[in-house]
Amino acid sequence: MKSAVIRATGSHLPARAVANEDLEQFSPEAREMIFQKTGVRSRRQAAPEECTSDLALLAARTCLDKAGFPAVELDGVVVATSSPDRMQPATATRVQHNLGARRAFAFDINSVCSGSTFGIALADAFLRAGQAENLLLVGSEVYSKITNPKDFASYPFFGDGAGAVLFAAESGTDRGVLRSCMQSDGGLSEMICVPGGGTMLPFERMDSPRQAYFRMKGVDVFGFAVEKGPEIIRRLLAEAGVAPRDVAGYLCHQANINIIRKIAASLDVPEERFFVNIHEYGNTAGASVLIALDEARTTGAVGPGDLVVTVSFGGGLSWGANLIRL
Amino acid sequence: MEDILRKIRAGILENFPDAAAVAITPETKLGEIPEWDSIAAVNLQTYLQETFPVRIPLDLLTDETAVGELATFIKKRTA
Repeated sequence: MKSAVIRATGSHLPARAVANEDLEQFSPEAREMIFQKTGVRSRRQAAPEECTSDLALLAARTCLDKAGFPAVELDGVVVATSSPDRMQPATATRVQHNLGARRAFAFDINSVCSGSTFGIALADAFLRAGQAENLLLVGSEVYSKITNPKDFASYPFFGDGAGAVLFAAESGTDRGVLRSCMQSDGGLSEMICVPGGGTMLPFERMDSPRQAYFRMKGVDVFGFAVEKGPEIIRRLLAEAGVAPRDVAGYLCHQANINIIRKIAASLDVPEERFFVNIHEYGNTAGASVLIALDEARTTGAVGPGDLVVTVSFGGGLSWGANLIRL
Repeated sequence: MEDILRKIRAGILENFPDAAAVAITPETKLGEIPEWDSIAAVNLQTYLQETFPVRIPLDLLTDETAVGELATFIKKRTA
């Protein structure tokens, strides 16, 4: 029986850091609210000429370099993104080309902030099925270019970044992706969306260019996340027969520090088990869990043999979790 | 005063698209605007400060503040 084992991880955050105080389009009292409400102090933003595949490429290269794995040997490149380079073709194809992964198939998945956990489940299924011997999963987002700089309900809370994981199929090991759970509720699709620019509301029918920007009903999303986050972790661990306290590290979608705290409390797990970098990067949507995974491994917060849980929730609505032995 | 009210209404409709379904009168409380919350209040603050040469404190933009009270505040500061 094959398992999808993590060979290496990588991440890339743009160099430009934008602190809350730098967001001068908002009043000083509003800027103070950003940290109070979410824990975000700063975020990284891509340069004007940088796009999602550029960040993905740098995270991918770092990941492959760590593994000493030649890009040409990749079987597949999957990019989880909800802020793609263009409507088409898939952002993953530009990453594949620029990496020199000539043999690989490449496509995107869009499950908004859940793209990372859905992507891990997909990579696991491909490798177990023998569809590929290895697969590079990259979560990459540039929300600074799809959010309205004047929208306080979205712009200050998001950041740009990319995380990458190289999975390889291995037999006779207890390591790898052990179990995944995913769920969606399309009835709540209006809670997080980009209303215009697609076929439902093409550009020529938009009342205002604002409709092409991302929007989110933050209060409702908060309630959804604190309910569904613990629920899906409990389901995942129950199906795997693992107790929440037996998990060495929780790599949670970095949407809001208060969501992470509530999930930890709900599971009765010490907050320290939850890796946190939201204060520095903000919410990097579908990239956040993979960036956290890379940083947790790099800093030694989690290590070889550890059980970790990845969990995310976001647009769709969608939510997912994976149990992985590193 | 009517011009101030007109501009406030425009700002509410711009920042809260679902408010188109609600009649915005001077008696309308900000908390009655669909999707109004303390985060969304900042968008109205930003709009008002760009539209009128007045600093609008966030604590003026509460659920209980009526649109007419807001217009009166702006009128006094711009008089």
